[in-house]
Amino acid sequence: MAEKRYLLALDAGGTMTDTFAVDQEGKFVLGKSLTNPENEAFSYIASVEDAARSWGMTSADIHQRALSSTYTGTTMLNILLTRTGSKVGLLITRGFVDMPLMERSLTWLGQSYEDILHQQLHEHNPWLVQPEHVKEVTERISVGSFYMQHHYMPGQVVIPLVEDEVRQGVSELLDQGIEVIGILTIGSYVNPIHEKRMAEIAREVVKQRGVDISVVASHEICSLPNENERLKTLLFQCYVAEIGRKKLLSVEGAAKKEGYDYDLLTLLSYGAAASIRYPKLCEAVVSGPVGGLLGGRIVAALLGRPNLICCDLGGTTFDAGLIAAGLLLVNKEPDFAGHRLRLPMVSIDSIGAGTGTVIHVDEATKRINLGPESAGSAVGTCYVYPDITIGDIDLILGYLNEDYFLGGKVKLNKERALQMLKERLAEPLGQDVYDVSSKVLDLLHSQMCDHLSSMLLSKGLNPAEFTLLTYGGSGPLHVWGLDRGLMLGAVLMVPWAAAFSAFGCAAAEYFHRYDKAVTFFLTPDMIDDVKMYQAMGLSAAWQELEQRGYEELEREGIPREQVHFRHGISARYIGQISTWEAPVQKGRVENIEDLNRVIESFEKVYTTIYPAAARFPQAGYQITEVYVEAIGEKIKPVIPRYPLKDKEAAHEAYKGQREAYMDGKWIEFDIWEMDLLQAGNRIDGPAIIEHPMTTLVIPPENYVEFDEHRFIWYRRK
Amino acid sequence: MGIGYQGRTLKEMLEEKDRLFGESGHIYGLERLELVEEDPAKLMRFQMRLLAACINAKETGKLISASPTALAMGELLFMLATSEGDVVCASHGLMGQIQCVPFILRSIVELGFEDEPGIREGDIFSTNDPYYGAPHASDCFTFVPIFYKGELIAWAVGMNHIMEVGGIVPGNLSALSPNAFTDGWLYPPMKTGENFKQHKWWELLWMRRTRMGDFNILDDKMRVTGAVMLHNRALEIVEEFGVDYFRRGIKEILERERRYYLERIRTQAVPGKYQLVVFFPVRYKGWVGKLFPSSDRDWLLHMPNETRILSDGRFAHDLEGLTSEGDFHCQMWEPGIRAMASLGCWPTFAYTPTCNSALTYMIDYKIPPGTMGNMKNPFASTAMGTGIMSKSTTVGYFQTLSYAYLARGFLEECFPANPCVVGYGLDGVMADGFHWAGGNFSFIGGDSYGGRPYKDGEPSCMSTPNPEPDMGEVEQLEFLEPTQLTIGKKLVPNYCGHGKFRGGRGTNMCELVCDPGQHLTIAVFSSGSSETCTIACGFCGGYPGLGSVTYFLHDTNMRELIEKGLPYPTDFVQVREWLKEGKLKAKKVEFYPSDTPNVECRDGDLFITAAHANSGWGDPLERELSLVERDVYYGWLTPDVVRVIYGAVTDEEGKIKLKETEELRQKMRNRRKERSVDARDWWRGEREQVLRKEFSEDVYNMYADILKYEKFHRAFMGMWQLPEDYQL
Amino acid sequence: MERRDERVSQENLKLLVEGKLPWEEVKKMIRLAPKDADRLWKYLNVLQERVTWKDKILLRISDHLYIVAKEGGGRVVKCDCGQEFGDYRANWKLSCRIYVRKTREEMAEVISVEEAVNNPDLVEMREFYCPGCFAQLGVEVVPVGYPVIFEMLPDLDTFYREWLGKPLEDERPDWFQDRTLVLPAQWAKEE
Repeated sequence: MAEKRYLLALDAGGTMTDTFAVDQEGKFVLGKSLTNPENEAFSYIASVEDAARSWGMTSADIHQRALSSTYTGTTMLNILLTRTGSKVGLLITRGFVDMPLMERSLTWLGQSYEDILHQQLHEHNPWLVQPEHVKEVTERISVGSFYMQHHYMPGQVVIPLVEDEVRQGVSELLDQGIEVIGILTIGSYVNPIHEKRMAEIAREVVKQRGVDISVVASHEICSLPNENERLKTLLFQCYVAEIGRKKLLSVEGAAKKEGYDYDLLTLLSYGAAASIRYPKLCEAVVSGPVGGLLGGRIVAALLGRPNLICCDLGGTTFDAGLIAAGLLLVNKEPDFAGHRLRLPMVSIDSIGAGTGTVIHVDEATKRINLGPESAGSAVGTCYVYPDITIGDIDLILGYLNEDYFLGGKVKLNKERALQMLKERLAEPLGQDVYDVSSKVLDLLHSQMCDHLSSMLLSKGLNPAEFTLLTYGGSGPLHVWGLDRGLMLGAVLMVPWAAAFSAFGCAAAEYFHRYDKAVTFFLTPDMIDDVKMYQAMGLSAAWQELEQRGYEELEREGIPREQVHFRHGISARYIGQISTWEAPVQKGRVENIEDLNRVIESFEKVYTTIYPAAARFPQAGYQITEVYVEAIGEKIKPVIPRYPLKDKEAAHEAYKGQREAYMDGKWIEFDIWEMDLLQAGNRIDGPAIIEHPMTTLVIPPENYVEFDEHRFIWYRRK
Repeated sequence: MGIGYQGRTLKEMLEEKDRLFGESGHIYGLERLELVEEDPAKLMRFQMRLLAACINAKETGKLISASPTALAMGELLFMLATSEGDVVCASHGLMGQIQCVPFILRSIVELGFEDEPGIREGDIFSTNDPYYGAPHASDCFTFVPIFYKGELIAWAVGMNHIMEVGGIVPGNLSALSPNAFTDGWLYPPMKTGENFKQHKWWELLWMRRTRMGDFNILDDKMRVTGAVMLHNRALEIVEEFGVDYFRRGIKEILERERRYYLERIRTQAVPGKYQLVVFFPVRYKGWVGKLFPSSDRDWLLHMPNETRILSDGRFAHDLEGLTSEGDFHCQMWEPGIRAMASLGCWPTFAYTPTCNSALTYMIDYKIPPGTMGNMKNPFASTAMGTGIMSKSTTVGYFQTLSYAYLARGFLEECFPANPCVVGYGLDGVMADGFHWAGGNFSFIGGDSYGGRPYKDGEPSCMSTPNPEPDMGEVEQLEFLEPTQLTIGKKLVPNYCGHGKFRGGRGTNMCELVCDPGQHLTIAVFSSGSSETCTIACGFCGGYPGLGSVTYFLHDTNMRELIEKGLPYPTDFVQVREWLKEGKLKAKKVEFYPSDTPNVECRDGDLFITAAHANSGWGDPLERELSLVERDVYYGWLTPDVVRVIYGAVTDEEGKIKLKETEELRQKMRNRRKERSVDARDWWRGEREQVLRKEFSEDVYNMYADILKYEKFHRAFMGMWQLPEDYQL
Repeated sequence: MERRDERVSQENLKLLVEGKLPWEEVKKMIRLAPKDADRLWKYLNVLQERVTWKDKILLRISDHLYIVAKEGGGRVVKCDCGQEFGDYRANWKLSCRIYVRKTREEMAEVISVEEAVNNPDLVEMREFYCPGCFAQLGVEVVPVGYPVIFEMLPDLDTFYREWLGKPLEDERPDWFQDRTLVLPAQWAKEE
């Protein structure tokens, strides 16, 4: 049997499936295949095969030697978007039958600011569960209150469960031919006793009927407050994850045929890799844009720059995520595809801004609005889209090469773009077409910059301490605008942008995250003994989660000694509704000092965001959640070093000159071919570096340097 | 030497602003938008920067808040205003309140704050007083002046709707309040902080004058923090663009916005006269009256709104005929009225990236003094003016423009909503003697909308006060009301206005009162009464939206049902049926068609509120049968109802029986023929009744009051051709 | 007439009028900015095709009702069934057949939740039918004796001249005058 020394990571996008294969020295090769939504096992193998070829090997050669294979992408998302999920049955607390229809009225998620105001556009999501497949069950558990020391404690059973209703509900659902059963009761995050019993009964009934139908209780995948968000998470699990798992298993089957020995891994929304047998697979539904950030984290570690802004500027959206002090920031109530979920997701903010963004002009009042619509891959009037877009502007200003878009696969029509921009932008505003076009770019850039600086400032972070890392097709095309608009520490690009997120998967840490709701009140008047009494509960909660971590990781073949933990809390001042997450140094509270350190960690986070005047310790503290991250060790790809060539770039990389319009005048830009530039080269602006997948624009006052990793450093002269 | 531009005083700047608009018809007299003409993209960039600053202040600040209304339901707002007080742009949130800021800042100027107590860098000013421009006690405003090199160049403003105002009834909106003293704690504009920090005494006031001091202090911290963040961002933007550009830019944004609105109206609407009327009963006789003799009566409020769309696209509203002012809770002054009106403007024509007070300059109001919309009594109650008067002001735009857009062919823009919301406050004493208070606002967070000329209304889909509707989470809201166990939060079958396209179905909340201890009272407020419809006219033959429904069931057998493991009702329709069948027992059943007094509750009581039953559009007999079938299949409408109202006959599977349906519909048309009369005969009969003055006491009193106003008098006398000496 | 703005086709507009346009298409129309300038003309075509009679539609004022220009002159309100309601300056409701629901029972027929049935001491429910086709044209819920509500009186001359730039031939200064009260006055005389 061959010695195991390879890592495989695949990112199955809408069109292409990228493979990133690494050997133990960290050398890597890339592979590609057309994604085949009907048979992903096929495109999986094809892509690995393609990568193997560049090592003169076959897919089987690599699979037999592979330590792990991580497969992520849009599999799950497509199930949601194409509405091809499971037929879900739902058992829910009596009186809440319409929760899936009402959706808490969040009928505007993901809409643009203007559309949100335009309430005619508010709409409910397509149903994840049919109303006739929702059954009510008598029960109610208290969730507690701010006044709980005077009234019910959290988790108190106020209305006992009526078990017969469960049995009846389940058998009705089975008669209706549902394929998976979800269970949600109000307050299950403080006390799951009813959900547990309901699940038991449901499984019994299913067993008696002799059918293979999975039963999922909300607390099993999410034991956190907010019933609507928990319900959505549960429905994602039931509607998407269970079918998605089957698809992934077929991919794993194919890999095993090729000689792969282990569980197939996939990427979770909070940036971890996990076995596709991982129960909370709903966390894999929203893992799409995470890969890039994971790649970013490796880069951050490699370069010793712990603070990174990772930007993926594509045709339609501008996604940005933060790595602060080497850690990914996690959002625990993310909005995704019109749903508000309750699961930890690497926080990535998106705005509708990209090369495809449509430009609206109001002649009467000379207003210019960007988006929300986007031409996406139709680029603009220069290609096959009816409306003028940013892409049209990039073209007529000379930044884009009409003959080298996607390496020349697509021919762009510059004349048409110019004509349309005149008609629809310049003339209505009574301005020169080139001048106003470049001003529109400024507008786009400043919106992207505001987006980034709000992200930072709302977390109390300072742009100057951050390095901007851009990838994705249009990132390099507009990086100059970002650099001008923000006082950034440094600006960085990777030449192999396309495969960057596959690289990220390969780099993913193998870990699980466990959250648990708790209720500890620490009031100023409380004596230390009482505080410590609660603190013991805190330790116990961490311990419980660690235990789950050990067990689940063991089941996935990682021995205890290879498992270590990260701990943290969510806390607030008593009375507040939002909580702030704070990592803690030590996952135990043994004495009052430990406890104070836990509180300090909260205060530290809070005061980095808010001025001292916003503190309110007089009200006391409430710890609402604890989390544990259980990490299993796993080898990571190493980014290769190249010998540094001299500053002067090789002549064959030079493609001549092109005029481009910038800052009110036409300038001759040198044109270079990115793949022919080498480590150590320096390219001075005005220059444009072209690549089939992207275009890098360098204004006169800037230059770029390719470092030993062929990372591209964008600098000011 | 003033603190304004070139040493002018704020008073001078305000006077100049008024003069310039009066003379030129352009905001700040800006006939030319130079910055726009020179470089439209740059101004747009400037505008979006300011907007981003407001949004950032909101998104960051709101997390500090303690009230679900602010955090979960987005009932907060951050704004940037010119030194003269016009709001330039605002975050999302409680959008209507934008229109109040110019009035409040005008008060601050007219009160001479520039001299005493002085307006300096780092100062914080606060108010929630309707007499000075706020809508009602629960909307608290915080102002931070923005100085650049000693000149006041703008204001950063934060506001939110707090949970508890310390009024005669617990909570933040009171349906039992004869005057300003029972409304709760009203604080006129005052300097409450310095060096960007509130004074200590300010926190003490919150602790002593409201029932939820800690929560309100956190909200206050939120407003200050957000406003200060906005202040700082604004100064960065000044640095980037230069102070001259800033000064002029914010004014051009306003004037351009005004022109943009006018353009939309001229290209989408139809000029003309549109009439809307709303009736709402106030029930004080006997209970409030016991304490307040001047309130020992009931009112049937008359709230007309005649809207003219003028040839230049401006709006002129004539509210003549409004009920006279009195000692009841549904009144407000012009700032509040404009605030509510703007809520009708945003979705219908004012949806732009920067919401601001340019609306003020294209909307005129005629509100006779001495009426409930323009009170002479400085101590008039305004506790629920927003909820009640929004019926005629907000809906004024929904209805007017729905008809105008239908006429012009822009059906897709029609937005015929009849909002009706309900909420409550409560306070109690636990078994151990602990005093507490709380409330629930979630049914204001998410309303349904009405049937449109091309589709049915949707439930839980919009919110009049807030473009980002959110009904909140039970698991969050119960934190503020331990004794209220929610056992039903759901939609109610048949609870909607019917029509060819029916309104969105209403929502229902059912709560079980659990171990309240020594004492618990609940007070419900509502913006729509079931004694009348939410507005007086349905749309194109559809029926208007329905009012709210509140039940209290005392001394029930709920605990017994629960012990026996039996099911129980979770909405008011079930409750009613279960009572009839005797499955549910209650020694005392209280039903309220809208507001309630403080109602004492005990363990095992059921408390139910419902609202959001929105208006239908068009003749129900023309409803698509496939839609009827869907309604029946999902139990949204019951077979008996679709038969009686839609003339649709269904079999036991809920499938439509075509032949029977066609026959029934024909029969119903014939029935209309049989039981209707010619307008003239109807007029004759109705006139007789008017001549004989056969009115119920409430109606009589309403007419007696509004006939004092010339306009209604003319319409009434003319309609019924009454003798000169006709009097009530 | 100016160039057709094809961003909204007459076909889609027809479907919208019939309530049959798919929601995704409707959303595109809602987002359209600026709106198609020739909407009214397309709309009037669609509407005119839907009616059997020839009178020129000037404006639609309700689901079934239009203000039309009469051959012999005059502008009257007309139902798509052909029924005419007289001069548009007088509230068309006074030319309807009227049925009034005065009791709880009568109102309960159309308010399908008994708790929400209005208080007959406060209001009556007036239903206005077309005397021709007996379509329900309007519903009013008002106190007894409340003057009939005139929902919309368009300023047609201003509209056509200043907003559309296509003045009507028969412009007159008094076209924008509420003539509703003329009818009762007449009826009173004849009593």
